[in-house]
Amino acid sequence: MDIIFNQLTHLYHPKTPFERIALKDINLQISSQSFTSIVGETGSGKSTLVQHINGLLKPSSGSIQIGSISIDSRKKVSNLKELRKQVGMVFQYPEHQLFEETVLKDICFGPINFGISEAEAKRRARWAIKQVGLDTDILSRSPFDLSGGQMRRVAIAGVLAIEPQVVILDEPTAGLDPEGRKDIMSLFKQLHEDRQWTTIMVTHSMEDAAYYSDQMVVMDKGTVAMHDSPENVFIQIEALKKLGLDLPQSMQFLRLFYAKQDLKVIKPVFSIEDTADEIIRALKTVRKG
Amino acid sequence: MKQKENPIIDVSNVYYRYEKETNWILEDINLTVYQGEWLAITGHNGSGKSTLAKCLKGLIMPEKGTISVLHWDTTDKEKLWDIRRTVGMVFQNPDNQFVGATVKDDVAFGMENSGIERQEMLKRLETSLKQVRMFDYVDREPHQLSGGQKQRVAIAGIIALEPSIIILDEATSMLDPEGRKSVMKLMRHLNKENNITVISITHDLEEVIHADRMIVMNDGKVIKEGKPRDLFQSTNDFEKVGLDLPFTIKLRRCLKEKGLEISDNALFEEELVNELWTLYSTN
Repeated sequence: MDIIFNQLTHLYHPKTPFERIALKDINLQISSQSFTSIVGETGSGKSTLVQHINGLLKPSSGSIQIGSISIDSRKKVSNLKELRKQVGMVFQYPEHQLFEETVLKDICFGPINFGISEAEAKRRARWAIKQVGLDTDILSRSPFDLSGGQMRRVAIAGVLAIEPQVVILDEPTAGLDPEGRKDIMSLFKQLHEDRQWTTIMVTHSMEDAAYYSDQMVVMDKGTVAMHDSPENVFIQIEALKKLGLDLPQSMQFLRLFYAKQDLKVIKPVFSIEDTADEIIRALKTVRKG
Repeated sequence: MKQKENPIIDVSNVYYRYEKETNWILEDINLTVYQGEWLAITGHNGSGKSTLAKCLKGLIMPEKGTISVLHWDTTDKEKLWDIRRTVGMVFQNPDNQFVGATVKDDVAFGMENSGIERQEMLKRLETSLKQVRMFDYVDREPHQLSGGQKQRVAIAGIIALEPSIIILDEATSMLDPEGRKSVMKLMRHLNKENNITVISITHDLEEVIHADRMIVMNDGKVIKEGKPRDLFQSTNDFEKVGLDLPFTIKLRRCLKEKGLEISDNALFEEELVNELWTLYSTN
């Protein structure tokens, strides 16, 4: 599902003394089935941007097109329910939004709310819980008796059960330990591929942006400063520095490595494996040269 | 010169659980914390790190064993307020610990509770806010501050009480990279210049490698204790207890697997870089 921002501006507290431009004339096209990371300093407009995609915020001017649904600042929004069925959102700390007595009821809440029959909702819940790597036994338990990692998976299953085509992840690994972080990110990567999602992830982690996404949007003071592949974004070292962003650790290391020999090589390398290969290649080349 | 040999906290055979007949959350913990050191406590979620921290501040009492802070037993009711004042604690969520209506009120709150007289309070308010570089924000309200700024105000409130020890309970995990850097820089300064003992509970292994000493917890027990350099040199099973490895260690292992003859010594990036280029020049 393509997402197109068309000259979209968003003002907070419009027509009051507190008026502030949160997004300024955004033109952006996010392609169907891409995995796009949104990065930028706190206050650059990342969350405001994604909240337009599922209709949590309405543009002050301009419009946004999500598949066949359009939200235009000049028109009344009519098909919000349909939009939220298509666009699932995993907030920061999704486990804080669990509220039902059982895991089953919690997962079924979304689908039933969107007019799916109870039988179908239950079928989806059983399917979704397996997708997130949990046992169906857990469905009868209270969500509040689960561990933090399990709770987060249950919350994700709730989004899955709506069968969205677009999924927004707002810092999905916040507060998890390293193993939990790796597990959840591989789960999203897997689901992204299996379910052919269009995935949009807001993140502060340059490592996750580099490693998991195929497109990046760099936000700066309410505008889109860059929109390109991670490879093309991360070679713009000076520009990123001005925007207050770091390089992924792999590239920081390579920079330090090359700088020791006064070499100014910039390679977009993100995994440990590729970093090691690049180092070995460089050592051989320098030796020959 | 730091006195890293003087014990400031002593934990001896400590057991803790929420209810009788349930599993131990802390099981036979023995630990000494030395004055002026930076001690990192790491372990996966649910390993008992935060529970231990609460015991050290006297917020909860062990079921068995003893904890003494500056030679005061945490079960000694007469000393409990002294202990809580001497051990400051910064929690994970910046929004949950901001109690005042403004920055000034928030820092004053703790001092008022401790019965510090007004003149002294005003003096400390200024010094502590200047130290965390938030004095220009003295009349701001919490919603006007970033997460990192709120955490720095929380730290100002703590140092105004002149504590000997500050516990960071994943205090930077909800901050953006900028906020994280500013809080860590401030804490390093307080550790070095004010000789405040820092106990940092964290998953961030890039932070852990800079600690003087580290302990690893798993299932309520301390499973490893030592200098980061020694532990990362000798240990191969950090992944097994749900932890990651610092970037340098992962990279040097990968290079070794690919046939490069490098040592197991490098801990910091700089060290690995130097070793790699030395290797190249001697061959």
